[in-house]
Amino acid sequence: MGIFHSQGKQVTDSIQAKPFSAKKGFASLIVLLALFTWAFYPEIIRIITRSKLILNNVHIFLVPFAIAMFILVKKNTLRQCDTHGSAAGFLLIFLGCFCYAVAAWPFSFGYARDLAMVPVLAGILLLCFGRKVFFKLIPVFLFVFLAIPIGPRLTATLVIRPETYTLMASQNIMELLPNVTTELSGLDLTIYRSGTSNIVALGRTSRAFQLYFVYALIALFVFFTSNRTICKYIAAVIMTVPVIFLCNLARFLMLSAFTAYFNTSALSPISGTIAALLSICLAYLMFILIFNLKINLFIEDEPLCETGE
Amino acid sequence: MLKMSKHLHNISLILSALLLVFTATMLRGTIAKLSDYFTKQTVPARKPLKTFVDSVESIEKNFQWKDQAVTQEIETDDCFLIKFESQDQSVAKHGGYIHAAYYSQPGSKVPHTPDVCYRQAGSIIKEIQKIPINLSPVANNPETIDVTLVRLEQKEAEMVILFCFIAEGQIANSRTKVRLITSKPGNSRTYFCKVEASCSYPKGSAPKPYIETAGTLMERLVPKLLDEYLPTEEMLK
Repeated sequence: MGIFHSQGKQVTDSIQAKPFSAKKGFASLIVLLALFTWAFYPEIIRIITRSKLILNNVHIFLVPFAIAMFILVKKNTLRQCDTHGSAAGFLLIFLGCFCYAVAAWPFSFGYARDLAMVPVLAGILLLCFGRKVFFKLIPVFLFVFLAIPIGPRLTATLVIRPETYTLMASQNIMELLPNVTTELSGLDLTIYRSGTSNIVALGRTSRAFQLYFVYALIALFVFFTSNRTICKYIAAVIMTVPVIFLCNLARFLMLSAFTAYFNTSALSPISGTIAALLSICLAYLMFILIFNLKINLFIEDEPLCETGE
Repeated sequence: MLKMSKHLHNISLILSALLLVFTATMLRGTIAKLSDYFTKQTVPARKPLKTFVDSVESIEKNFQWKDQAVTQEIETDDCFLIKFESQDQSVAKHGGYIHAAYYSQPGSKVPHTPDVCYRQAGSIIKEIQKIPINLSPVANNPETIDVTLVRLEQKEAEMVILFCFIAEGQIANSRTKVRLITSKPGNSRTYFCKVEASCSYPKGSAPKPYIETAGTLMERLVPKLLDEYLPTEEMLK
């Protein structure tokens, strides 16, 4: 009886202590986030400036909303978590600052410097709210990771293969349309129709492989806003990349169709924006469909009849 | 135990705050000072690469390319691009181009690789892969290096390009590896060199003999550059 009584008292104590630890956690979080912003402001400003210039990075402005929405969706689960901070957070912050320093000297890699902010943020969260909240908020770090733009030279190297395949696939599909002929030369897909010729998205950087981080962000958001089984994790790992490629192909095909049938100017932002928005909607629908499909990998045996043989 | 973990947590909070303050106030300055102090100096090539065309005996040079606009674009004037037909029968059949550019200014940006450049110029990439080439095929102790093979389709022909970088005496086949080698502390002087060998051939032909020809060119070009033109290890100290 005494044991039960003391256990009950401990539970009551922990419930009473929780609001205090959460308050302390929030206070620490605000201070540390302010210091984080001070420490990494050149990187933050660089990311914002770059995202204003390049359409491919425009999703960066949506990431804070995605994070806020994600936390809102997970509000009840997070409330139930123990919010005692973990000292291990300091190690993550140290690791992030160390990587930042090494990526500045002796090795000078801007992207690695930007990425170093992710472990620092993760460390701050772990330090303020502890392991349980940290693990529940892992998708938030993935959102932040996707918000960090890759430099133009690295992008130029990384997009070669997907861009080449997209251009070739688009050329083959466009050739199937009536009265349309195409010519592919490097990055230029020229479309000939009714005596006119237009190049699709002429002059745009990585024109045939854009918005891949936006599609990935949608995939992450759709996936992590519900609790998933291990089968869904496997399905997500297998399906996400092909769907990203497919949505990009759809975007470029729409752009090609606008160019062919409406003679839109290569420099016109309207056709590019419409194609981008439609492909984003397509990505959202496809990820909802894929992640909510019922996958029955294991078929349960029917229970044996009690009176059976 | 609980008290101890609370203490540890409080200490971690204070240390984290201090670390972030240090990052904000002193880290960048310290890095800038270190970077200035340890900046690697420029080192001239043993022989200018421009003179390469005069010293290769085994090739019949058709012309030596030198275009001011292009040398400006590739940010160095110590370079060559030579079209040739070799007296060696294995190479003579197809001919080809060899190109190398030497960079030694601290902070020189590593140029784009052919897979990036040729696409901008209208080529379509057919294949990119790493292939091994033997630097001393006749020696008893052959040394093999990996170079990058790029196969392209152009308007009227196809082309194979083999390329690699030589950075502070080491072979690298990506821009990132060059940056890692040239940034690594150790040497007080730095350089890197981009080396390419290419062959054009009619559309639809099997690429294998042309890849072999470009490979033969690389096998001769890289050791020659290392042995006679590029700075030695001692020159980098």
